[in-house]
Amino acid sequence: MPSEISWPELILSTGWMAKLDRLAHSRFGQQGLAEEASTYVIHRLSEDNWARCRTFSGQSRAETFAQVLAVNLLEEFARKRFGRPRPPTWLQREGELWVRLWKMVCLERQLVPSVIDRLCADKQREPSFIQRTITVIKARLPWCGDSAREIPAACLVVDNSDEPHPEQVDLSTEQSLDKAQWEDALLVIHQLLLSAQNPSMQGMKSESSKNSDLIMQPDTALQLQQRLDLNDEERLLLKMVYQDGLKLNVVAQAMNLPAYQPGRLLNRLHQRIGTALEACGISLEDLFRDHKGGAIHE
Amino acid sequence: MNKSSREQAAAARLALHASRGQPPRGPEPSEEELAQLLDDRLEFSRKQEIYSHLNANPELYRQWLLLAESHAERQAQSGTTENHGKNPFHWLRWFGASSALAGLAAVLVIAPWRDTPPSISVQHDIAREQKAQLEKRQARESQRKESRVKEPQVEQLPQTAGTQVILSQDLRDALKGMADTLVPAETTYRTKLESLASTTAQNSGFYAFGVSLGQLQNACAGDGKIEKQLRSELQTQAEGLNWPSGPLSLTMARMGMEQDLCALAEELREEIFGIEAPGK
Repeated sequence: MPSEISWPELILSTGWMAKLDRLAHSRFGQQGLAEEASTYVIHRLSEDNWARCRTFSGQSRAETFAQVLAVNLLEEFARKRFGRPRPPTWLQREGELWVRLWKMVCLERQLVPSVIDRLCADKQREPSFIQRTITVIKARLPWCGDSAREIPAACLVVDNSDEPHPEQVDLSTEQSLDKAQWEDALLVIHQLLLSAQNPSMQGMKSESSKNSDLIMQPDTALQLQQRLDLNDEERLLLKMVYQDGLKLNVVAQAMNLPAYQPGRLLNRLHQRIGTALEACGISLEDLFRDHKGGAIHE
Repeated sequence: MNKSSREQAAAARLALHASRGQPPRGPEPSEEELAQLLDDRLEFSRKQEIYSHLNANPELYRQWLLLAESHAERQAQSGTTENHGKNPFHWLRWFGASSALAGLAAVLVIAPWRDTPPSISVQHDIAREQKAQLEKRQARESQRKESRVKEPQVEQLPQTAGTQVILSQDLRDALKGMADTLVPAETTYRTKLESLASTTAQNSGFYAFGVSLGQLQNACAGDGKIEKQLRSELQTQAEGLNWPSGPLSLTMARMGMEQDLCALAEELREEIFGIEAPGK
């Protein structure tokens, strides 16, 4: 029962503190900064006689609840230390992993090998997937990770408030894109095609190729959306696998699915997506071929 | 990334973009609900609502990813061997599965499922599967409780003890085939298999199936690539064998219908490690 939980006993236990240290290290990489962040979390949790913890109603495991609070407070610490990040729109469009890497490598200047190690811990992702993404970010943002260059002011909103900056509220790709921007989706494909041959080129031609023959009409977009009819679980699955590069076993654990289920769902989804694309007259095979001026060489 | 994977990735990204902008459903999840989601303690409908928020709110999604990765890391660190001893009644579900096995055999023989995608929606499939899992879990719980009352001595078994079962000769032949095929590096697995397997190699279909299973295991432990020929051989063999009821049967028979064979091989390994040879 929630009333019986001794929060100081739980939070200050060796096991939970070790877990917090792992979370902080996973988030910040550097030992000193991670320790500072852990101390901040403990301080905030214990405030006002553990008031945050006492909002617990017993619906979940107390340890998991404390972990959720800790992750929120680690982000709060990062905001206070580094300011509130304002990622470029093109980066947000690529997915959450890109924003996360941008924060870690460009803003917080964490070392690339250490970032790759942590994001690929327990074989959660392929290191090459992370490396490729960092290469593209650095190619587009030459100041990224370069200690001799200043971080552009436009990338950060420095404040100590917990409230989001007004300019940031609408930063979500999901919320802000409208149908007229459908062409961006095709540009993503365009970038994927380019990256297949030359990874460092990924994302380099977004602006210049807006008038290319890859641009699709909004009507087609709507038609495809209707034919796909993806539910929320399916969208989340696709995001985790294709935008965040998570392996299927990690996805299964995160979504509490049997180990074999994500693979099976993905197979069916690919069948559906293929059928929908075909019905809308979109042939990825043609795009690949046309864009390379010939067949793709493996 | 090969051509097919690239096309799949491109198609998936395109599908994601096409489906963007859908508003979230239900109230925004509280911190405790996120914890419930990680602990798998939410009802199906609320879970879907929270998924809609995760899709619509990048900040929330990032937070959840951090939590989920740390959750997965914790599970990985707790190790699979720990889980083997947790449920000494794991095999009991097979007693309830004999009728399902008969149904499965019928499906394997009759349904041309490979050529025709299932008409049922994925969402319904998930709901049905989750319901089935919940029922299985509840059944196992109640069986465990009953056994505790009837057989208090079971409680005295050490946590790491496996479950003693009698395997049919057919399945022991399959295990022998596996043991004979595994690469030398798989010492622990091979020893475990040999402790359960028949002592002499048989020229049976089950032995041959075991050889294919061993090849599958080797492929999964290596680069994870499964040759098309091996996949098709496993399917043909799984369909052609007359499966006895009991532990391991259903998992092995599923080799004929699952796509993610490495995940299934992993399930089989876990199940095998949960079994103890009689008389030990």
